[in-house]
Amino acid sequence: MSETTFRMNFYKRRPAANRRADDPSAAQTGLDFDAVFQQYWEPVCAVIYRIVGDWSEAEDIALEVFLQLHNRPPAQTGTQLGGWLYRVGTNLGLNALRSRKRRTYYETQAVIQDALERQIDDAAGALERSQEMQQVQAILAEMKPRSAQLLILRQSGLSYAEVAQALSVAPGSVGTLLARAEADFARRYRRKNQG
Amino acid sequence: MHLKDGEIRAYQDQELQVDRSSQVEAHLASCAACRERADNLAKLSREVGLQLAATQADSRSSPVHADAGRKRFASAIQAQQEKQMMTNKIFSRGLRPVWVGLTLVVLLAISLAFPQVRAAANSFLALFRVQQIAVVQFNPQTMGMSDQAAAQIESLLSEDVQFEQFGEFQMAGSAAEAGGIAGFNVRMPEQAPDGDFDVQPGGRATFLVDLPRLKAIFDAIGKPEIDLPESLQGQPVTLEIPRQVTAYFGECKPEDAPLVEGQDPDMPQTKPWMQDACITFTQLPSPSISAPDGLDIAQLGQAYLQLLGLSEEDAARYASTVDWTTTFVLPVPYNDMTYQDVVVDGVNGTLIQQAYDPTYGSYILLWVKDGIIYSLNGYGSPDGGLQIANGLR
Repeated sequence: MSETTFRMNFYKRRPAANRRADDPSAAQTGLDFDAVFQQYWEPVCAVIYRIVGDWSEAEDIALEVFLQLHNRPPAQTGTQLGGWLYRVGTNLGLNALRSRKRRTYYETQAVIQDALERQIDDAAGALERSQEMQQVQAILAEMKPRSAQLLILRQSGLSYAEVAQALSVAPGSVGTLLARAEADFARRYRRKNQG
Repeated sequence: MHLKDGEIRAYQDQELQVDRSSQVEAHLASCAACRERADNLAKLSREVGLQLAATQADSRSSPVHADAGRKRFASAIQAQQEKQMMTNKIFSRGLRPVWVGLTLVVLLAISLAFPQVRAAANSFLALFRVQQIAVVQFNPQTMGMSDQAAAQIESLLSEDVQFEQFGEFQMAGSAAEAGGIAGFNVRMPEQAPDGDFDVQPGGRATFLVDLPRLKAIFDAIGKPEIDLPESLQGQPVTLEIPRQVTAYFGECKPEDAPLVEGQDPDMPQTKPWMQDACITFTQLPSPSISAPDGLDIAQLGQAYLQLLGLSEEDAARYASTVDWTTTFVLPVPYNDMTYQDVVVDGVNGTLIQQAYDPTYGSYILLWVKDGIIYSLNGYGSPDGGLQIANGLR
């Protein structure tokens, strides 16, 4: 066993007497849960939507993200917390994508039906967009998760610094990773459209 | 010196520091090779951006709103709390010392999601001296614990079971001190510095067997065929749980545990405060059960297995392969948990993991050595737990 085994501290706790007097919300490592929820619910849903392409599924996954935040708050605070939410959200989104079976004929029909119901004149356009999205999803699902997360977060408008925080990479390496992920994505996209 | 792709990419995204940015600009102006690469990178980026734009939501279709999300979240939390309160209700009151002892070690981590498992095991455990642990897989769906059955188990536990606690909760500053309080040799890894230890009280539960009530419970859970010998009626079964010692490794913040509203603050919070990087290490001498002479333990074991949903034949077959006087048979739900045998601390142990979530899911590593039960409980990869276990002196 190496020396590094016990880099983990053996936990020293404060006297247990302080414990019950604590305000429950403050007890969560000082996390202002409501404020975090207000700030991040919609953007986190939007990022997950980009991966799964379905609002109710995106919300289900976001719910899981915030339950995890509530039950086991991470050590991160402030803007780092945003990074944590995006990381967990994109992870769960990509997991959902990978475990999903190929969209069926019926689901394609549902897209058309949906377009008709919402009185979108351009039903053919809606179908085309849906097929385009499925193709992008298929590529994201087969890429390395970190590359897929990088592309999605960048496409969602996060800065290099925010992306670096979310994915725990050095800010200086984001450009390199991004160029690589784009090249990988483009190669897979081309292969799909040729074959 | 030519520019790196990553730097060109960052330059195009205006993500470079101002001075570096003008250096890059100057270099591009004078270097045709880099300029060509920059053009290609920009082209690639545009192309991928267009393709990824397919993932952009149609702004008309976004139904997501923080307030509505908050409502959904509130009901999800409520459902979670109700589940937890139900669990707490069944296992609070006089049961506390028993739970603090036995279940924290063996059952709790496994059956948090399955209160019915705890009920079954606790009301019915044929434990003598635990010298080994075996696993039986079962399907929680076939248990079908109704509210009625849960209420019956609760009244059984509150009316037919007597509890005594010995010792108080104490904290100790070293393994030796903790061992002195608990009355056994507390082991820690070689490299671990001394820290704080929790020493939990021990307990004794005496159960006077009430066959009609047990029968009613079996009926309520849809297992009327479970058969117990008439000779058991009115007999005492005593479960003794020694004091146990718990140590924490990593980032554990038990004092920061959020108190769930409506929850008994004295109830040990098991899961919520265990953070990703926290490993809980518990050790206690084997609990013991004394039961009436002439009791057919294998028959009780079979009833226990049937209670877990095994068919009568399967239960009988399994029961006959187990030495019930020395083996604790741990119920592990199908699908949700996977288990494997591992060699740990020089003996055979069991590693149980939440199957659905290898990244964040919890694991529990259990083994018995020289009459002491050890349990390591953490999240994610079990490597940290295995290292602690294999470093014990």
